[in-house]
Amino acid sequence: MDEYNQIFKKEFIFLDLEFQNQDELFSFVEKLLKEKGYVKEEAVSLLLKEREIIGSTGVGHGIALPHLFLKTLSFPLVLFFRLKRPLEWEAIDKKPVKVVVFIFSPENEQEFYLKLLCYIADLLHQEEILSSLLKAKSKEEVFQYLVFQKKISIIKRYQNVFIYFLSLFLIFIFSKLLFQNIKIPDSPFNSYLWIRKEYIATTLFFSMVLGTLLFFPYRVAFGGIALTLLLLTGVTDIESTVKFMAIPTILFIIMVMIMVKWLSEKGLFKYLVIKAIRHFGNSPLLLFASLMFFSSILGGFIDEVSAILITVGIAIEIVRLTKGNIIPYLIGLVMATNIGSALTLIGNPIGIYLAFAAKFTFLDFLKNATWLSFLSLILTIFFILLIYRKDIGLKTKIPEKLEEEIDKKELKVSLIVFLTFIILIINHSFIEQLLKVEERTMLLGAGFLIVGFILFYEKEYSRFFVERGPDWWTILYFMFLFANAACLEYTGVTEKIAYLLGEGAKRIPFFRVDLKETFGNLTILLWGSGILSGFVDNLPIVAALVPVVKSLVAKGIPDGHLLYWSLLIGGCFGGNLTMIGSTANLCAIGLYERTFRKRFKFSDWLKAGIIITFLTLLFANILFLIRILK
Amino acid sequence: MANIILIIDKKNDFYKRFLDYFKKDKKKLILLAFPEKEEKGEYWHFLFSLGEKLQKEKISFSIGLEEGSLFSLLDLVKTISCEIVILPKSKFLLLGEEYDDFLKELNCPLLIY
Repeated sequence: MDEYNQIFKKEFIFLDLEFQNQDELFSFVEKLLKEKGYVKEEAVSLLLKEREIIGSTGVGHGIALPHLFLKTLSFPLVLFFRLKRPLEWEAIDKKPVKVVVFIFSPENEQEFYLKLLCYIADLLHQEEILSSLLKAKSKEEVFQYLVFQKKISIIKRYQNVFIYFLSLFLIFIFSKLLFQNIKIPDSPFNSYLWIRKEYIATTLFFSMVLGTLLFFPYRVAFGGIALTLLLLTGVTDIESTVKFMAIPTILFIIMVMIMVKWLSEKGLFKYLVIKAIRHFGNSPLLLFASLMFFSSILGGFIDEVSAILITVGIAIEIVRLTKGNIIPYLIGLVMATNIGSALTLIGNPIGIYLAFAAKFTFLDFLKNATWLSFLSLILTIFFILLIYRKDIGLKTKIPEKLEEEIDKKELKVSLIVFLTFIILIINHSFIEQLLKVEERTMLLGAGFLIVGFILFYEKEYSRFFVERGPDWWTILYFMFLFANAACLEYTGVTEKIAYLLGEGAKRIPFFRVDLKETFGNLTILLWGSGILSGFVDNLPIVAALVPVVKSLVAKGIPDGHLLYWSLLIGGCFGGNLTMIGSTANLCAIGLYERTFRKRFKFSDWLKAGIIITFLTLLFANILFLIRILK
Repeated sequence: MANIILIIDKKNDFYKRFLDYFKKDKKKLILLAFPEKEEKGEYWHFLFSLGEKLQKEKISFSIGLEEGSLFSLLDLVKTISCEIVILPKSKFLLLGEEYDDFLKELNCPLLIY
């Protein structure tokens, strides 16, 4: 770093100067170099212009790096300019230039000159540093960034690795102490052998969760490594691991993903949303509200990710037409979809997981989750409209071309298939009793049947839906996750947590002593899973807590089954807390960033996120309380 | 002047053939790289060195370093008037939904090496 310290000089840092064009800036530089005596006769301005004719030195992102060899120089020079008015520079991305750094070098310093060029290019290419340079208030501040910031950025680059290993170490120590000190009366899990398995399983489960949180693109790798270590440390064996992977749940998710991909390709969802909005959307507020409403319904009947991709796609079209603000649409639609994903059994992977783990039917969802989710949706739409009423775009209507793109004949077939699937899912329990087959057989059967039809219908093109429909990456992640989470149950971790939870719930003040434990546990699970789901994907949270609830229910607390529903509601509603709270949030933000080439800020989300999550969780808690008291 | 976008992969020196080919034409070359985070410094060095050679040969060129997926490239192609995109097969995952969308939206020929 010292070698650069000598090159950058505060006298050559110029902040917020204004130039009419490139020529004026080049002339200024030539005059400056001559005044300071660095060059005498060389026509620097002309040489710079010639260099720009060969090819623009604008490297994109508002940065230009004009660079030249100057015969009369005895050492390299760097001149930093932050322009008051961006200049046209014919840069590769056609963006006007805000930062210009001139690099001049004697001809005999070619290696150092290249090194210096790379250092500056690499430095300015880092978004955080560029943004700091653009905001810097003094030459001293710019100098500090140019000379020292790269060193700091290297430390920053590895901060997640440091956080990861430190957290794991602390979790290891904490879980070891915790499980050694919890003694459940008459439980086999109090022995040293099981305690060892407990803290290893807990540490490895968190190694996967933290890995997902801090290194999202590598989440599958973290899952695979955690599972390998569980096997090698003897915490589990191969046979149990395969059982823990919840293959029926995984198969059902795969079937739904294939069907949704097919329905989406046929344009069914787009058509349904367009029709509904045409009917309801006479004013901007109604249009926004109806889009949120249908996004939520789609979220309940397909999956939250497909629903959000369809409705955000339509919202982008609307915003392009009205030149409005996409942010309220994006936040409103994602929140409605997350809440709507608790409407039915198939809306969210956690719903499917709960259905198989707790043996809930589609009708159980209608009785316990649908109405609660629906009322929360109304509340959410009201508050979102209140928060963003001034930001909604002008009056508009859905563009005709969106509807014209859909093949009507294919649409009819896809609608029949979709309705058949819904009817089979709703009546799965009835059909199972009629055929005297095992519970949940028809859930899987409906998936296999519909996918079978699609494969016949699409003939040789059917391979496309099998290959592209399921997100195989996510499926593999789910399998690793389920196996890791099930190890917590197998080793008795969840039983001990349930024991602690039960003891804690007894201390929550409640006026009905007989229902104190139910209300206490329910409140802890609802808010706990809700808040945690705001920061970590909701599935690991629910997968880890389901065995805890199983243990609590096994203890025979009154209305124990409500605890499962509190997990579903907490997991789905909590996803609204932050922009990373659920897969739907990440997909919508990804679509926004890809379309508008802008970065979505954490703070853009937080205001609405905190208000809506707090209100919906509180509302759900009150409704659960009424239910318990009845 | 038409633009040729050439994505450089240091490990695949097939790009040299394209450089030789386009030297004969009066086209403007846009030399881009999509390196991993830790390779950025190396790639800047590589691109600037290449730039020095091209400058001596009076070949019109610009250089740049980009991050991200095929969509970052697509945005760039859409922004500038481009005659052809030349892409190394080793740099991107040329399969899956993202690649399908990239091909659908690309408004010029694509050459893969």
